[in-house]
Amino acid sequence: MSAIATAPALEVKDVEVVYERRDRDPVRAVAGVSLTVGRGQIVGLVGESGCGKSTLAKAIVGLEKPRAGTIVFEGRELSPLTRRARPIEDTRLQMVFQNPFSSLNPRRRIGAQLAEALQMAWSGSRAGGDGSLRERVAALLELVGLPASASERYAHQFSGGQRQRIAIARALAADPTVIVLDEPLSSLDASAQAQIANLLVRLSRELDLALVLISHDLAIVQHIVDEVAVMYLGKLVEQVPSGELWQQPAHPYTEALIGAIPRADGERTLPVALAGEVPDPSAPPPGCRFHPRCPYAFDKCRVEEPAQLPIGRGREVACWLHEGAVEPRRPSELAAARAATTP
Amino acid sequence: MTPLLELEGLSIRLPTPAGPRTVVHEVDLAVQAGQIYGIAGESGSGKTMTMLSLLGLLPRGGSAHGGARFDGRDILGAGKKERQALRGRELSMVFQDPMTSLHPMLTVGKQLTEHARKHLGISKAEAARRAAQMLEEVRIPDGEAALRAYPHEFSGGMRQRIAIAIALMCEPQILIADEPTTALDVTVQAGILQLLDRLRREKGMAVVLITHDLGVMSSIAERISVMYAGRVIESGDARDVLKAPSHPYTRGLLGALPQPGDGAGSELRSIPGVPASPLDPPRGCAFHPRCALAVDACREGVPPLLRRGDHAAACIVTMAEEVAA
Repeated sequence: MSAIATAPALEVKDVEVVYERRDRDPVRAVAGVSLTVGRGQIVGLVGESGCGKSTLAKAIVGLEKPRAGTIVFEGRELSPLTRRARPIEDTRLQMVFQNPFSSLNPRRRIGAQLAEALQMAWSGSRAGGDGSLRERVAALLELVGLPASASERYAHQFSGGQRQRIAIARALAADPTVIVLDEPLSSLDASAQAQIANLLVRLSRELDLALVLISHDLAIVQHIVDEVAVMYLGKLVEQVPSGELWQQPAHPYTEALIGAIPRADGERTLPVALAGEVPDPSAPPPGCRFHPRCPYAFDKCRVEEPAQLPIGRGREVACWLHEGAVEPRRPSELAAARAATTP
Repeated sequence: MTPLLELEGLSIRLPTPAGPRTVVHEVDLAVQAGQIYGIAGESGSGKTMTMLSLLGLLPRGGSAHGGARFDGRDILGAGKKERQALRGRELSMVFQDPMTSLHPMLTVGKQLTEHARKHLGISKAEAARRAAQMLEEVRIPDGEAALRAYPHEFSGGMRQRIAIAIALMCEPQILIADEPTTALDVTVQAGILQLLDRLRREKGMAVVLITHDLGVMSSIAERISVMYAGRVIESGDARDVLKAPSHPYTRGLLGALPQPGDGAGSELRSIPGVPASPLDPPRGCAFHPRCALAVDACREGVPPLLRRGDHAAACIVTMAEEVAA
């Protein structure tokens, strides 16, 4: 567990992102999300495709303009990116995209791309040490586990995992305190995935770096992060310390995500499918957004949207099953108890 | 029992900038009717090429050598016409990304019925009836409306189910599914895996499931072959291979998987280095530069698949240990 210092590295407060569409209803891709990331903390943001997690990531770094809410980075409110450059200190909030092959320049040597990132970084940047530019590039490469000779090569000469290392090195050039990573592992094979996962954990520890890791893969995320935030249809349904996630998911959606993960135990057990499809975000269901797919939904869920309810041990969940709860419990247990008491 | 699909010493040569190269080496494989057979391996291991060669879909200039029989008939030697009759009719394939395998400008109905009418010689009305039934089979709601819709009107999971429905229109005896769930969320993936398993049970359809995801493999495959740098390096009953893997590569792949609930921040055991290129594999065992158990002999010759009962692995170190023990 990372220690959480007094001022959080990143605060997302009631952020909403709305896409207007001609002749059609607007889509509230992010419908009011609050999230706090402490210094050096790794937070995972998981959910199915279309849940708004990538939109939230873009809003955090300023690539999308929120309709409402604020993003506070190291105590300063961030404004969305415009054609004018951001205050240079704000470049210490960095982003790594899903596909490094499209975010790296195919026609420039890796060394030149890293050198440029170092030169553009804020003047106080200590990334790569204080040697010559060439030495600092080599130090960045070493930090992500690549030899200095990599700087003479081009993006296509590397494997997917190595390219992701280069993309991370470029983000590190700005000497960041927070990096938002959008699906950094999903295009990689299992062994490369494990290598990058280990690298991220090491970098976070060594550099006291906060990471927001966006992924649809709960299994790998819970392994890397300190805390998991689960998102469904534009809202967070719960936040769980990753150590409690597997034993004690509180939201039925989290439980369903865990049940759907196939296990490589050779037992030929089929994973459990979640009923239905993700609803149209321009017309979310009334009440709890998850109720049409929830096996435990009852009357209240269909009319009233649940707030984040405290359920003890510092946890919160947006689910009516937990109303009046004193400690986190699994939704299946609560539903069974409910069924036993209601005639 | 005669296998439905049998490969014997199948090798594939592809043209490369550096001249022709053998990228798949002597693959043996036998799929029984009604069986789900998994082929595992990382990208570039040759698992997709092996299957594409059966359909005659190798890249230009590529060639397949060795034996491949479907229902006792030779596939590789078959003429163009014969192979066309086989493809889509008895042997069907589903690809990873339904957005690229479905035609964006044609209705779902058109794509479902076109090949069925050609292969089965049925009327337009009969094909439409069958198509609606197929969509119901893969749980696409409101089949009639879906037939008139275009691929972009569906979610990713629904598109993949439509692609499967298209592949199933002629009730093939074997479905080759190449990473059918890789682009999908786990919740949707679970539905596709259940669908494949149900089709196997109810229709006796065989499935060759190509995937890099050993969890997916474990949930429905009965037998598994693991490929590395163009060779099968381990094969056997899924239970045996996943519970007691013999090849260091298979062990490494399984070890790299996050175990549910094993706590945050513990180091994942990754395989060092990067996968060998099938175009230019290391001498001897292609896995030796990444293998902690490698001995001098591993650098000499390519290890043969050593059998212990039903389970085979191409490793002279672990198989010798197990025989000795």
